[in-house]
Parts: sequence; C-alpha cells; structure tokens
Amino acid sequence: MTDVIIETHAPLLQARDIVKSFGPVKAVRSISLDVRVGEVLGLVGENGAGKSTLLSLMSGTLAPDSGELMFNGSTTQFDSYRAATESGIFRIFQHQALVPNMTVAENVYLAHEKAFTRFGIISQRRMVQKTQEIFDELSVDLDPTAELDSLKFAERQVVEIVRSLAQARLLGITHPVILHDEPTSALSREQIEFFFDFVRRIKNQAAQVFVSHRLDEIIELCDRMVVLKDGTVVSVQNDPTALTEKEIHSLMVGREAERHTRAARTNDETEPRLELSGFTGEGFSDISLQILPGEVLGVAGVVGSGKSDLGRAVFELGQGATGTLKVNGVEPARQGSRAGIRSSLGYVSNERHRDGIIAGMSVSHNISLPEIGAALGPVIVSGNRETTNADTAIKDLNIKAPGPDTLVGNLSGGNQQKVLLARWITLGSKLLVLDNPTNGVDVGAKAEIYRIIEGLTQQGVSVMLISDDLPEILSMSDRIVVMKDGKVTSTVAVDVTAPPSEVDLVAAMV
Amino acid sequence: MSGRNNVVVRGLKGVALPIGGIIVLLLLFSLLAPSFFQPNTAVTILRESSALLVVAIGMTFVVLMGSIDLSVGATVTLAGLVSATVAKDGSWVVAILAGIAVGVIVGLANGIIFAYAKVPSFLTTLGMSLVVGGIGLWFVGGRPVQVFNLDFTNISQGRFLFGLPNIALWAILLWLIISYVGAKTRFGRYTFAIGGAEVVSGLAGIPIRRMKLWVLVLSGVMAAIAGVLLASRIGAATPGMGDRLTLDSIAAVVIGGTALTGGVGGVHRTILGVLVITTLSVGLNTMGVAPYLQDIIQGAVVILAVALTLDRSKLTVIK
Repeated sequence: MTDVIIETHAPLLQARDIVKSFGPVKAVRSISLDVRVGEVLGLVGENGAGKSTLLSLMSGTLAPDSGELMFNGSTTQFDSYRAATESGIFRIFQHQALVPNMTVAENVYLAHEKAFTRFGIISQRRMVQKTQEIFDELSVDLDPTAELDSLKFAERQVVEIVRSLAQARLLGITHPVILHDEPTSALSREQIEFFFDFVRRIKNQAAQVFVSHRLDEIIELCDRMVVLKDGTVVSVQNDPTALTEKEIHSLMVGREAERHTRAARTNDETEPRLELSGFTGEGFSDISLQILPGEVLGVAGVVGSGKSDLGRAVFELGQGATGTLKVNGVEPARQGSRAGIRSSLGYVSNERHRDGIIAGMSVSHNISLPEIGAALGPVIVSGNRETTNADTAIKDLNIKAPGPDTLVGNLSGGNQQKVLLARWITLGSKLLVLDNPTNGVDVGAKAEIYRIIEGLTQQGVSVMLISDDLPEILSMSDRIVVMKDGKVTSTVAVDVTAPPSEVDLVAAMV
Repeated sequence: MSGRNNVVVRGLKGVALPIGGIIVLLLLFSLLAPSFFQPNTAVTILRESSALLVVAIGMTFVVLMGSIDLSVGATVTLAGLVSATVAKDGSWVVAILAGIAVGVIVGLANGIIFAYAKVPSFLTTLGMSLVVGGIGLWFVGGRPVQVFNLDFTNISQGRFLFGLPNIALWAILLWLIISYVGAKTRFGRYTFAIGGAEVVSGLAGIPIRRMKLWVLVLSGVMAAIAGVLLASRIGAATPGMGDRLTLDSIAAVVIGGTALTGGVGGVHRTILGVLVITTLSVGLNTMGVAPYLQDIIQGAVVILAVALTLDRSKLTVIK
C-alpha cells in the first residue's frame, strides 16, 4: 500500500501523565502518549507492563488516579466504555463482541437500530444498503446479509472494525480512535495478511493503536511504536521497521532476548514411542510417522491443515480414526482420552480457555485433574499429595502463583500454560502432544516453556509439537513434518548447525 | 496475604450469610412468638429439616454438575407411597428396599435420557416429574396409604439418642457420609470438574456420560430415602407429600452457597440452606400463621434468600 498518502494530523487522542494503581500495584505510572489519524501506533511490553490497563484508561473502562486525557484538543473524561464509544473511541477485543446468530449488517449497527427505525419498525433494507456502502468504500468483499457465524475469524474482526467506523459516522464523528487489543492471536498467517491489509486501508479514517505479543507483526504493521515496561514508557520508536525483533525485545525487558535453540536429541533408543501408519480420521488422512523417545517432532501447517485434529486423535489413541496407531510398539486395546492418559500420553490443546484449564478450580486441583480423571490414584483423593505436587510444580516450573489454592483463572496466560504442562509432568507422561503451547504467552514465559520442554526430552519424554509459530517449530524440533489438506507433504530432519529456512517450510505448507 | 488464607476467607464469606440468616430468623420468631424460644423447638426444626436435607444433598451433586433435577418431589411421593403400601402388611426391610428401588429406577430413567439421549436435564426431569407423579396417583387411586406397622414407623419415629427423633439421626448420618464423598472422593471431584468445564473434564479422562447417569441416580435414591423416612414419620403416605421439596431443595442448595451454574460450592454447606428454610416454616407455624399466607411468605423468602446469596460473579448471563 505504498500509494496511500498519509496526511499529517494533530493528535486525536492524548494521554498526559496518567497514573493508575490497583491497591499497592502501580499498573500505570505517569504515561503520556499521542494517537494520530493516519498512523498505526504499536504498543508493546511484557505481560503486566500495563498495556491492557492503558487501553482501559483510554476507553473509559477505568478512570485514571491522576493525569488527563485530551480528545480533539480538549480535556475529557469518560465515565464508562459507552461514554467513550459515544465520543468515537472503540476497543476491538481478542474475543469478539459480536452476536453470532445475527447478520453482518445487524451486527454493524447493533444497538443503533434506532437510526433505521420508523414507527418502531426496523428497515432491514436500509441497514443492509448502508453497510454495503461502507463495504464498497473500503473495498471489503463481504455479504452484509450473511449470518455472522458463516464468516471466518479474520472477516469477523473486519466486521467489528467496520462497526466502529459505521457507528462513529452515525454519531457524526469523522475520525474515531480504534484500539486493537491483541486482535491477531487467534488468526492464521493468511488471515493476518487479510486483516493487516484492512487496517492499512483505513489508516486515513481513524487513529489506530495496535497491541500484540508478536513482535514481527508490530514491525510489519506499525508506523510508530511505544514500548512499555513496568507501567512506564521506556522507548518511543518512529520507525519500527528499522528494528529487529531482538532489539525490540531487549527494549521491553531491558536485556537481550536469549533465543532458545534446542540441543540435538541425546537419547539413543530406537524403538519408537509412537508409530502411525495409514492413520486416517476427521480432518487428516493416511498419516504415517514415528516419534522416538526423547525426540521432538514438529508438525507445521496452516490452520485447517488437519494438524490440530491429528494431535487430538493421537492423544485419544485414534478414537474415531482408522489405520494403525502403536504406543511403544503395542496397539492399545481401548480408545479415548482416559485410555490415552493411562498409556502415558499428555495433551495441551490449542484453546486453553475452552479445552485446557478449569478457571474456577485451584492450581492444585487443576494439576491433579488428569490423574484423578483417569482414575489412576485411589478413590479417596489425598489433599496433602495434591498440595505437595502443586508446590513442587510451582517451584520447578517457576509458576507465578501465590500458592496451590489460588484459582487458575486468576493467573496470567503464561502461568496457566505452565499449569497445563505441570499436569503431565506430575503424572510422568512419556509422550506429550502440545498444540501451540506458547499461544498468547509473552516472550519471557515462552523461553521458560521451551526450557521445560527441553528438560523433559532429556529425560526421555517424546513431544509432538504442533505449532503455527514457525520459528518455534524450527528451533525446537528434531524433525519436522509439514501438513497440507490433511496429508503429510514433507518430512525434514533438522540439522542444528544448518536449520531449514522458514521459506522452505511455508512453500510446503501452501 | 497467602493463597491459603484467601481460601479460608472465601469459605467464611460463603457460610456467613446463611448462618446470619438463621440467627436473624431465630431472634425474630423468639420475639414474635413466645412459645418459639424453647429446647423443644430445636428438636422440631431438626425433625422437620430431615427429609429436606436428604433430598437437598442429592440435589447438590446435580447442581454442582451444572444440571438440575426437578423430579425429586414426585420421587419422594412415589417412594413414600410404595414403601407404605408394602409396609402395610409386609416386612419393614422390604418396604425400605422397595422405596429405594423407586429412586433407582427414576434416577436411571432420568440419567439415561439426560446423559445418553442428551435431552437437557431441566426438560428430562420436569417431564419425569409428571410421569412419576401420575404413576403415584394411579398406583393408590389418589388416596393416602396409612401404615400401622410399628417396625416401619419406628425407622423415623423411634429415639435412639437423647430423645432425638431417628429421622434426624439418619439425615445427619447421610449428610456426613455424602459430604465426605463430595469433598474427598474421585466421584465428588468429577462433579465439580464437570460443572466447572465439561470439555476439559472429558479431555482429562473423566467419563462424563457415566458420571451424569450416576449423579442423577444418586439424586433419585436420596429423594426415595427421604420418601421412606417421611412415610415412616407420618405413619402414612399421601399423594403430593413431596411436591414442595423440589423447590425447597433447590433453594437450600443455592442458599447454602452452591452456584446454579455448577462447579462452585459444596455438599456440606447445603445443611445451612436447609436450616434457613425449615426455621422459617417452623417459626411461621408456631406463630399460627394461616397456611395460604405461609406459602406466600415462604415463596417470597426463598426468592429473597436466593437473591441475597447467589454468587453472581460466576454468572455472566442470568437465564
């Protein structure tokens, strides 16, 4: 999009020395920043650096303890998110705030039906027409009458942004502020392209702030970047494209990022821990592969390539699948997750909130869940043993939790992910199926998770590492299989001294 | 501030409200009705609590799992009618077993339809309640069944311990056992886990469908035991005698601090909700309030009590 002429604008939204504390915790200490129309401002920082709090302060969800917000040059104060949206400040959440069973047009004008109502009757036709006009203007190729459910995740994200623009227009605001709060964490690579393309297209219509854990995205998309650490701005960069991920990371944490690279497999057993041949099921077909003890097998592929389905089916020992699956050379007699756990398999799913943690349960009860769930222990649950195991896990995996009785829902994403790993480590599982184990986890916790995986493989644990993060696959795997349309398209052995390039992998994926 | 202290504080907060409620009710009735304040009243409250407690501890498991059982009232009635009929000219042992068998059958029917045919528990048990209620009326031709079998009536009316009616003894014994099962066993943990997150529980190896079946069987059996105890206490079983227990048991569970969304609460806490509800009805009786007015007050208080004690932080949408 080089032909877009970016006009220079006065700042639309300014924060001046804003401060916010939660009890003794100073989440934001005196931050000042400007948001302008015509640019995308990147906001980076580790978990707990104050990014989310800052967005909440700018969008009326939280009120600052001191300092002021200036909107269009004059001091303002928003009492609620609603008040902020009425001034034209919109926050796009990770988990979309859209109604799935309504049409695109109905979602775009949700809560603003009044503008299309005459004598209490809503004119669907005008609503669709108005939506289509905006779509045409922004060259969005979506059907306003389609049900939202039928759209891809990235398309829904675009609908949500269009909604901000459309609602701002209804209110007579030409330039809204759009705060993107980790919008890409659930998107695949192609979907990200589609989404970024749209964000760039509306640059001159809105002032945008973009928060992401993925530093490569910040470099790719943002015109300016603010780095937060411990609630303060530690750096403002006017040309993020000139920086490397490593440089940004050192700005974030104040030290150089150690890029974890796996040492080569040390185990010399040759009897495969897992053996698949002609393994076929929902989403994948005719898969044949082996995983040796102490080996990490990376599984790459685009979203929808069947790699996640394969992972789940392996954990469930081929429930609902055909072909052969052997664990330690034996075909298991029973299928299902209980049988999988009993055969020393462990599984960390892609969606932590849906398939991973029980947020309302404590750390210790979450850790003991598969052991009790698969009925491996006695009928009477030993609370002492649970607490001891949880204490050990908290110490060994460096889980930041006040104690074993803390509710898992109160931990940060990275620590929740470590709790999930702790389940299988406590149980002593021998084959872990990890589906995007570092999804939504900050850089520091990521490195720790890699070290944990490394340590496990040295003890002979095998890992099937399914990931959308190519650098992760490249640096952690002994061998990589690439999947496309449910089939394995290539298998690559990783030589530590000369690893394969990302480009080669992507070529096999698409 | 350690994590362990937080848990204690959280736990205390949960029980403070119902205990406060019981104290307020006791004070209020002592002031309003002079005859209320005497040791005998305590015995009455315990006796009147018993059947409700037995039903409510079974219900707690169902609610913890995030489901509901609306057929307990009808099950109490049918089990009472069946055991009274058997006891009329048969052995008390067979009478008990026949009553419990009713609970097992109703529970199995509920459980199979809910867990395996995947009909929501709300609808399954509401329909089952009508079916079971109809069978009860048909079975006795709509007439009460009187029992003069002393062995049978002694199950509830006898006094082993310091003049405490046996029915209360059985109820407290069951409460202790089932509370232990809820807090310390795999079965208990599974109920919490399924109520907390069903998909996660399945992936952790918990046999979800089997658990749903057994929890509904447990609820049916507890309701049936309550029916037998009630028939023995009254010396008769009447159609409709269990009707009130459905609402009362759900209310007791919620007042006790178990969330209707499942996953949070505990079996042991349900006794507090039971005492709140029973103290109210005993107090109103002592004051000589007319029955129809009692219904109005009790219905309103149940809603109020649930409104006060419901943990809304666990609910994102109220349906």
